[in-house]
Amino acid sequence: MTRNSGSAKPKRGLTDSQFALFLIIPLVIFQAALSVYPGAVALWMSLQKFNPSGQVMRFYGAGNYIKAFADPEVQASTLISLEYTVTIVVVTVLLGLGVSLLLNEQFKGRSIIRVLVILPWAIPEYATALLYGNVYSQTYGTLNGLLLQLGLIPEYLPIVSIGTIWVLALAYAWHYAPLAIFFFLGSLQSVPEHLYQQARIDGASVFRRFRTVTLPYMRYALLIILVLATTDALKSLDLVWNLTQGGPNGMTRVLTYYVYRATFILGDLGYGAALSFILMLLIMLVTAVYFIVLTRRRR
Amino acid sequence: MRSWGDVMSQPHKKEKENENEKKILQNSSKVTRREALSKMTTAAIGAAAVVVVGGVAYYLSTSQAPPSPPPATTTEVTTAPMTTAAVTQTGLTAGPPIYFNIWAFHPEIVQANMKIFDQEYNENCDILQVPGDYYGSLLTKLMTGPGSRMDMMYLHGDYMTRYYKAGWIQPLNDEEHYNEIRNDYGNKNLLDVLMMPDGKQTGWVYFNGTVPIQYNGKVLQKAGLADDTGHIKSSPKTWDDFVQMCRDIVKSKVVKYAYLPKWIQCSTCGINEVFDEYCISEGELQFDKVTQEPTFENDTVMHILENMRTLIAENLADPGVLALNEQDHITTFCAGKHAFTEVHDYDLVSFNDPTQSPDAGSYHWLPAQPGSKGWYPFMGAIYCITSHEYMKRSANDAKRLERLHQFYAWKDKDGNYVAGKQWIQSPPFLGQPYTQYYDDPATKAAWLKQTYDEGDFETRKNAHLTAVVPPGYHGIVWYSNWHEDLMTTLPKMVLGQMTPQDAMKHMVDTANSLLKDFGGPEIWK
Repeated sequence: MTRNSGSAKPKRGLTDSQFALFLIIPLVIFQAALSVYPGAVALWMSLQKFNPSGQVMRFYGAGNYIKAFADPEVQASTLISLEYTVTIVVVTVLLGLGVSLLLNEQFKGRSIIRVLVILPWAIPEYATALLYGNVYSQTYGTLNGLLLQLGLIPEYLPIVSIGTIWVLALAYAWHYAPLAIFFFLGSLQSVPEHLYQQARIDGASVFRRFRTVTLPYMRYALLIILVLATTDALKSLDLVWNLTQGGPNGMTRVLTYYVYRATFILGDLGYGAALSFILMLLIMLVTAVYFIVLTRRRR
Repeated sequence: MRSWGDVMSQPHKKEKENENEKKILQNSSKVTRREALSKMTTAAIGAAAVVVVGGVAYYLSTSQAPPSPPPATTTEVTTAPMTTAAVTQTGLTAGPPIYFNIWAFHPEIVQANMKIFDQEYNENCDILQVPGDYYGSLLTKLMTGPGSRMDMMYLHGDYMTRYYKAGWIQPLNDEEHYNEIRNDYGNKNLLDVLMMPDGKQTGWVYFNGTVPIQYNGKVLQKAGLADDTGHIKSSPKTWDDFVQMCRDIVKSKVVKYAYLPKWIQCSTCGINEVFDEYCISEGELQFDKVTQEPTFENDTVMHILENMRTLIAENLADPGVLALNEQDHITTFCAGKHAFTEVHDYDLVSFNDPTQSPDAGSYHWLPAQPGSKGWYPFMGAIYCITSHEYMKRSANDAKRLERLHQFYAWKDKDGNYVAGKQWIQSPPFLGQPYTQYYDDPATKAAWLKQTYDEGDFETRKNAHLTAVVPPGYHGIVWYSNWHEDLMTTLPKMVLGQMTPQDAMKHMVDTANSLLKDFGGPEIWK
């Protein structure tokens, strides 16, 4: 009698598959309550016209979506969001790569530094915003203090006014880069040492060794970081909300802030919901591109 | 060594062993993983069922009577059916805790007042401080309805209008002491802020504030515009005078920028609020109170826009302010690098605090607000309570909430002004709507201790008791949309990316479009 005999049936009740399905019912209910139902409600809301009191006025069909695509503020916010995201992703990846390569070397105190490096990621985005409020402040900011002491600026400057979305992106990248370091370091440790030795024997330069030996091993870590950093940056709100509230002059008004503004400041729940779906589609599109580019087979 | 026979007989032996094992397992106390999971699942379902049944039973045993309109008199309330709960001092029965949602501003004062209330009335109230995004949190709670622990809250006028229109705010006209409180108000203009177009009053003033121009006497002294005591020699009568004074200060090279306008990033207190300040000082109320149509397309408001542009174009006002938040704006003015700003009057305390400002003691109000009328804008906030009907509140609990509301906004049961005293006589010295507070020597003594001088005290008292509320501010459900749009339009205009004429056209078009979209006075009928 074989172990997994097809004829073996439980005496009563469910098969193993049915039982397994039964066990995941709570998870399905949980997921439905937290994602599917709110998502469906949001979709319904996006098809309604709301008044500023947050009440449905009438069925609006695709009106909110049409309004969004025609709204120059949405177009401007989308561009700012993309600028913000690209800056974050590039800085996060470069910083992650650089620091992980350093931390992959043998030196005294490496373990402690590896732990310390992860700390910025461990603090919430909200706390990062408060921290960088102090760094960038025009009156008491540490960055201004540092630059002044070094003689690089004649007086304290309105850093956020000058740097706008770029300085916010740098703050976010500081917060996010440790995650990249964590992933990249893990990948680097999986590269067989003999491959480097063989490459050296073949006379490969440092750059070539990185490109042909290291990078292939880091491809999936890179994909994960690109996807995570992109989606998280596109969804980010705390930093902008705390530091600039979309200003000055709308120059840091990312799409998430625009969604927040439509929903909570203006009470236009329908437009806010429609913008959220557009943001979600944007995130899905960018993520799909990453997957296609980074997981395609080499020919 | 095993024989072939042994080998051949092994399967049979194994089958027998398996059968034996099964029997042993069936008879023993051991359970398989599948059985364990089954039992655990059954137990979990059982426990969940017990919890659900228990919860439903608890709800049914503690739920209130069906909602009824708020009582008009105490007599009606006291005839409400008694429960097993204790009877409070005024004949009301104890009930569930009453929750007061507050934003993060001196919660210790709110808490101290709550303690007094709980003791005086043998009550059970609590404070829920909303960190961060106050209105976002509030909207979510209000939409949730009953069970959201949302009884009393602070609101700004435009939010009050919208939330009342949604049916979430309780009108107060039928409350006990309603007329008494109204008659008690020192500044009758403030009653405008509380009244909706349908004739219902929806709140009481939490604090009576304004946004006046304040100056740094030390800077003006250096520029030769203040006397030896650091008081301004000749206060600007018009905004043109003010702009000219800024030119003189910048020309004297005492500071780089003369004016740090409160054109900050804050949707309820930024450049849009300061625009209201300028307009009100000229007697321009922006919207028709009856038709809700825009009335600001005129030379006076155009000149206000032109002056705003001039201040930046001629480097008289600091453009860096456009990126500041409220706290940074105060800190920046504390640094003593500007001559003028406008802030909520309670921030004079920060400027004159030696731990915050090197020029502490030099900051004063302008003796009069520039502008043809010189009116001060009312820039306070309101205490509102949620709708009894919407929150399915019993008549008894409605009365308990009314008592808390009036305690904070007016007097206690013994007829004493209690809650306002904590605000006006200690930092941050928030103004109150009742003249009695200003006549109380303790108020003046407290203010003078905090480096306000006699002149500032009188100016401030006068401003509070005469401040004007923009009529269009209340009862226009789309006012927040228009006001929020100013946060984009005005910075563009002051930075020269849009002419004042284009800004005006955009503002008028926006107002008309919102009026058409969301309606005017007809929606209140």
